[in-house]
Amino acid sequence: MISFSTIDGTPVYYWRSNRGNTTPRTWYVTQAFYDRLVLWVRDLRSLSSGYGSVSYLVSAGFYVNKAGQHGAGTAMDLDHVRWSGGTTCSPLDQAHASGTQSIRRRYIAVDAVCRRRFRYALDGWYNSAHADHIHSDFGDLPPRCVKGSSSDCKFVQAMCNNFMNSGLAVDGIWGPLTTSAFNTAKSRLAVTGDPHTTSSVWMSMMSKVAQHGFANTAF
Amino acid sequence: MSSPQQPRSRLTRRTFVGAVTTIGAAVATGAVTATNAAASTSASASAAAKVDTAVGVARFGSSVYTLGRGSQGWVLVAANGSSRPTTGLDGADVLDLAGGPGGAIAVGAVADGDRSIPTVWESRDGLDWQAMTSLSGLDGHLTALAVREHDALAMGSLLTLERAPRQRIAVRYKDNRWEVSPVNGLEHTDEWTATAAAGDPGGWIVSTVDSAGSVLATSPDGVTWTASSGLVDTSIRSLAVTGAGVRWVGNAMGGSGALTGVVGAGRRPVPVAGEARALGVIGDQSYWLAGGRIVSATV
Ligand SMILES: [Zn+2]
Repeated sequence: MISFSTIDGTPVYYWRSNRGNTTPRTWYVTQAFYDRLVLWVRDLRSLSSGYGSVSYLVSAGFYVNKAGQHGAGTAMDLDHVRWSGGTTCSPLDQAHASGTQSIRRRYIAVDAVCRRRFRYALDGWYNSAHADHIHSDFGDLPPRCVKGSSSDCKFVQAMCNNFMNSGLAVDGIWGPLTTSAFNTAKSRLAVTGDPHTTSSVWMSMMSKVAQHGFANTAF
Repeated sequence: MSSPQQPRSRLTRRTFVGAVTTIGAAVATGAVTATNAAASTSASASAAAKVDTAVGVARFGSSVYTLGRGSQGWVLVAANGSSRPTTGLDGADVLDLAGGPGGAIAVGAVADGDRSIPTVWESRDGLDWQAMTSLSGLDGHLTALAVREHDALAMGSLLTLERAPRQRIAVRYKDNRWEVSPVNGLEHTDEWTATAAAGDPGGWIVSTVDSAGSVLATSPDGVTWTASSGLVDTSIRSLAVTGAGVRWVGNAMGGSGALTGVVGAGRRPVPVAGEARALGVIGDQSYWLAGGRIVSATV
């Protein structure tokens, strides 16, 4: 394990016991996971540069003493992102379920940045345990879109609904309506190649989704 | 839910209930120096292979051991740091360990392609392990183990494709065999990981971890559960029923600090290294994995 208080210079705070707290925390992850977090935060900075720089991140935990990826030091629970211009994205406040479309789109943008670098990103649509954070871990890399994954399917359904008004049920079942909406999204985003099998295609698609999400523009 | 295989327990009712344990003597005859278990943090590390992870603690004879996994697979690690290889745990993801009269019990899972099979192992000596119950029809793991004088209870989860908990499961040792046990009243914990359990003649207690901290529940019979207190910013990893209440050890979630406390009576830091992972508590001693080695501290 290595310790860190910032990811590539961006502080990571903890709010679960004291919201708004900016006391530096010492976190632990494996070196390989930290290296991936650096790629992730650099993606986040470049894709959201219209909001200014990323001032800080808030996490609910990385190396948590329990079974699974957290216990191995290869997972992150993301609670909140704050940019220098004052904009925020707050999974902690269940931004995925906000009544405001721009807030939901921004959440999907952050979610999409996670999906560029992590295969398993579990979000507010996935289940109630993830209603208040986005979990990202090292399982089943490389990143790609797997139809049989409820996590991937619900994300795609929510994405199509929020950017294309697709009217899909966010049920995690990849049926013909989801296929049709996903194909429309690929076409409108000029995605070539297969995001189900080719990681670079999925990562590129997630960048385009993030750009639309941060800009609050439909596709 | 399918029925598990139900082989006869290696720990017979007589040995499970019996007061005399032989594991300490068996280990002490081998390479492990089991006669000088650590009494303090400074005394606990000795020349021995480091382990990447370790789970649980169990007292055998006069010494305390944990199961650690290093480059050679699972090893039995004494509190003084010395270790010996085990057999029977190849491919195992051991997630908790406890001593019982007549031997030791470990729980976890065995990988099966993309799935994992919840599994219970038993051992008379801590070195030679045998799977006693394998819930082969299920995809999940057992993560928390409690042992009483006459029985034992293992809590776990069925897992999603993405390896997130989706449904609480329990396995009970009773009348000389392990079997799946019903669980009522823990539905609110279905999507959380069980991290610790303990029992005494009055009942059972289990701790689960959500995104904010630990959530405890109690049961008089191991079947019907009632939610009790919670602890924000704490992942409880071990519980022990003492005369002064239920002692716990664990780690902070905002960072990683070592913590202990008595359920319902606050918390305090434990003076071990910042990255130390709680393994367990026996009596007034807590055990931790720090820098690949076992350390202990009085709590
Ligand atoms: Zn998580």
